[in-house]
Amino acid sequence: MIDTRPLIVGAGPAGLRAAITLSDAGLHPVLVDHAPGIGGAVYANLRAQPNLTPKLTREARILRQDFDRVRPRVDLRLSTAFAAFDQTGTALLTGQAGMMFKPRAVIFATGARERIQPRPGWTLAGVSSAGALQIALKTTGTLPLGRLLLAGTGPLLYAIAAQMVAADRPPVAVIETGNPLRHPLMALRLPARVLTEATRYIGQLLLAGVPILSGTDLTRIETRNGALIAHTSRQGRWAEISVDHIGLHDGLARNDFGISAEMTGQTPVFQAGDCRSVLGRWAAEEDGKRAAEQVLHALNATPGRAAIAPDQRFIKTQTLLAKLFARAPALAAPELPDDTVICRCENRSLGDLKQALQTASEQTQTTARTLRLTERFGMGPCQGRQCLDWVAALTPDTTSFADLRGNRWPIKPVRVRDILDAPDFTADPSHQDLK
Amino acid sequence: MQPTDSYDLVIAGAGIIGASVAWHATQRGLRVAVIDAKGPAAAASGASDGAVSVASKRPGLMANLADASLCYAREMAQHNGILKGIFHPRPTFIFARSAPESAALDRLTRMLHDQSLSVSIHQDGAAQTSAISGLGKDITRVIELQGEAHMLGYQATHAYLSAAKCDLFWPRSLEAYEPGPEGVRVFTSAGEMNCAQLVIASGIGTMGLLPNVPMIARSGQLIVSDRGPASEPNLPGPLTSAAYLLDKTANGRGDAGLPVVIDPLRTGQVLIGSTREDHGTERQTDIAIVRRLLHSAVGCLPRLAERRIIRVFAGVRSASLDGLPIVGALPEEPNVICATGFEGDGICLSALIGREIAAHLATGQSSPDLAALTPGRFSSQEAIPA
Ligand SMILES: Cc1cc2nc3c(=O)[nH]c(=O)nc-3n(C[C@H](O)[C@H](O)[C@H](O)COP(=O)(O)OP(=O)(O)OC[C@H]3O[C@@H](n4cnc5c(N)ncnc54)[C@H](O)[C@@H]3O)c2cc1C
Repeated sequence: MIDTRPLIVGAGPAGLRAAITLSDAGLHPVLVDHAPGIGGAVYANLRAQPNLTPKLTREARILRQDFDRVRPRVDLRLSTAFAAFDQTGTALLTGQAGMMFKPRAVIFATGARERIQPRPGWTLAGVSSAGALQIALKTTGTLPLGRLLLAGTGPLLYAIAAQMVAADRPPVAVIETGNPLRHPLMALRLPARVLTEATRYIGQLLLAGVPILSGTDLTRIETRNGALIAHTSRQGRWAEISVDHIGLHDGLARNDFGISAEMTGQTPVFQAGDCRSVLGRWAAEEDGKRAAEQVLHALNATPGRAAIAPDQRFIKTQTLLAKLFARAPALAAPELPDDTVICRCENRSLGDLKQALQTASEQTQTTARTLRLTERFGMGPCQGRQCLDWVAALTPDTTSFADLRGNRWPIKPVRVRDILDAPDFTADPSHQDLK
Repeated sequence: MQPTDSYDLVIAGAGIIGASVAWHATQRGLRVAVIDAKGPAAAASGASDGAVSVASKRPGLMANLADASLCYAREMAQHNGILKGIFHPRPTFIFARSAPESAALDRLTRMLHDQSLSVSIHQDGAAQTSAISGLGKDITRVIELQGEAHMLGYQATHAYLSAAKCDLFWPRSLEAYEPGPEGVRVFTSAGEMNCAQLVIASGIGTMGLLPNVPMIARSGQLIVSDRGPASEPNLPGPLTSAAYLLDKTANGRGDAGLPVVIDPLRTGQVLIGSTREDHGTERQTDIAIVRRLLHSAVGCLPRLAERRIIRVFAGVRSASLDGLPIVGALPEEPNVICATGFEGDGICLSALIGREIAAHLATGQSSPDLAALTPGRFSSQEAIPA
């Protein structure tokens, strides 16, 4: 069998809406997600354990209903990772429903990834990303035992904090680097539904007595007597908070890691949702539809329909949010001590990076390749997801994130056995049987 | 030292070959500048395995050169030598899965016996008797060699360039040169430089610079695993299929099997290589081929199935038409020295080539051992009517 069905990677709002749109046009897309259920990060409760009867928002319900309607036409492959796509047009899926095939078109709807700024102690046990806590809460209803603290910056922190309150596990505090509450007039320019949501979250936090320490940096974490001590600083005033678990979150970035137009050869490839531009779930759904229409256009499956430009409203909202949360001066890496771990996979510190940059001279820049090969940044199992943003930020004149990351596959580490187990539906004579 | 634009020697290419020439030339007191279009180890030297291997060479000249380079590199790794901590001696395990592969092992045995080389056979027998446990049932015979080593190209490049007291410039490409009575005028992407002698060690980039030196690009794909469980001992040395030896001979490997090499890195990771494709697309890695290589690797060492792959990448080997490196002064242009065409052997040969070119530059005498590598061999062939 030669399989050329279009592939959609990611079953969040963008991917689901893309699948619905393609199915409605009569195609049979393959929809793959490494999670065991649909919904992505924001509607992760769509895959909650059966004993948790989750409250679904109206949007989530509609999305679910629309998807259920087209479900028979979609080849949904869960607990299955998209591992690679090469210049021959071959895609490799691995895991529960892995396979190799040659999709006629690909939509990446892989969402956003969390950014976490390195700080002394961020690699200690008990410190995780705030997003990881949220996914655990949404899918299993549980959180780590003991006192919880959230720190970093960005709207998502408040959403997570409010969800913790709703689960009866309010955090000890929310430490916010920015000063979003200081600009009420600017905030009023946000679209009504964003504002309503934000007000609701903040209201829930105030009601539960969760202090929001804005304009405050979490500068350092250490362990003392089995507890985590968070050292905070607000305009030069220092404080300590003793907790058991810390969730860090410093904003979102496109999760287009290792995915770029260059890797894809002849096959039409589109990005949709936060993966293309971090504009949130409402924009993502519209964008999924847009990407699907682009695929239909590229495959001539509909009478030539031009791509729709990204919706300006969503862009305005995000720009405004960014301004609200911006703070001067930002916690800049040069303020960090040299022994701060930047790359936890290969245990490389800020000092290592500085030293590598020092050996360069006016005539020789430290190249992305040297930072990778010799200094080992981005070479560990996380493939640089954690460190390369910061390495690129600290070497603005010499390297770019794209240089540092490159387009190597697999997109995430994958077991050899899983690569070998994936059945081959490319029917490519050059592939020669494995046996 | 302020950089000037006048040098005894300009080297175009900061791969392992250019870097080795640079360090050896500064040891002889030459004023040296190294320029590179991208940066150190930007091409093959940063995208290769690091086998310093004699066994994989063609009997005769190549095996002798590899052996000489191996012995010299071993010396440079001792005491406080430049390659200390970079050149690592280790055993090599070469195995056979088929009759043609076993025949290749017999030929290897003969070569090691006939040529007096520093590499020797420690053991030759059935898979069960080898020092590596858990070999796959496809493997029928394993030869363990003593005397070979591992050296990562980018580490050696970095060591040579950091220790060489010379001027480094990148990104800066060699675009053209003009030999004259007082030396060579060098035209680069960032202005002109003058030097007494120019070394072109630009790997595959040499193709565009010296159109009369015929070369082919042969790309190779490599796979890197994670570190594996702490309880799992890494291999003591590389597991190399005898098909890999056949790959380098005129007849090729035929039905001997895929030329897989499973090479343990010092980090605990494993590097699995490598393919040999006749194209030069550095970025092209291909799922079907990688899968076949992995399948073959798991057949040889089943426990690899549980490792995770974290990266697949490709490098481009610059090969000559006759399989020999291209080293020496250009015909008619005694001040322009070419050093390229090392195909899959540049890491291994880098120590010797650096030393010999530096000696040639400093003394004007070229080593008789390298005479067969002269770029002149291509132009003289042209003179013979077909
Ligand atoms: C997959 C693979 C596996 C290998 N495994 C082994 C092995 O196990 N053992 C072994 O001995 N060898 C191995 N090799 C071969 C080895 O990597 C090469 O022979 C060696 O690195 C060649 O070094 P070089 O300095 O000649 O060229 P390169 O490393 O290619 O360096 C050339 C440099 O020149 C620069 N350049 C190009 N054009 C210009 C210009 N116009 N101006 C200025 N600079 C320029 C480039 O940017 C580059 O930095 C392998 C190769 C590959 C691809």
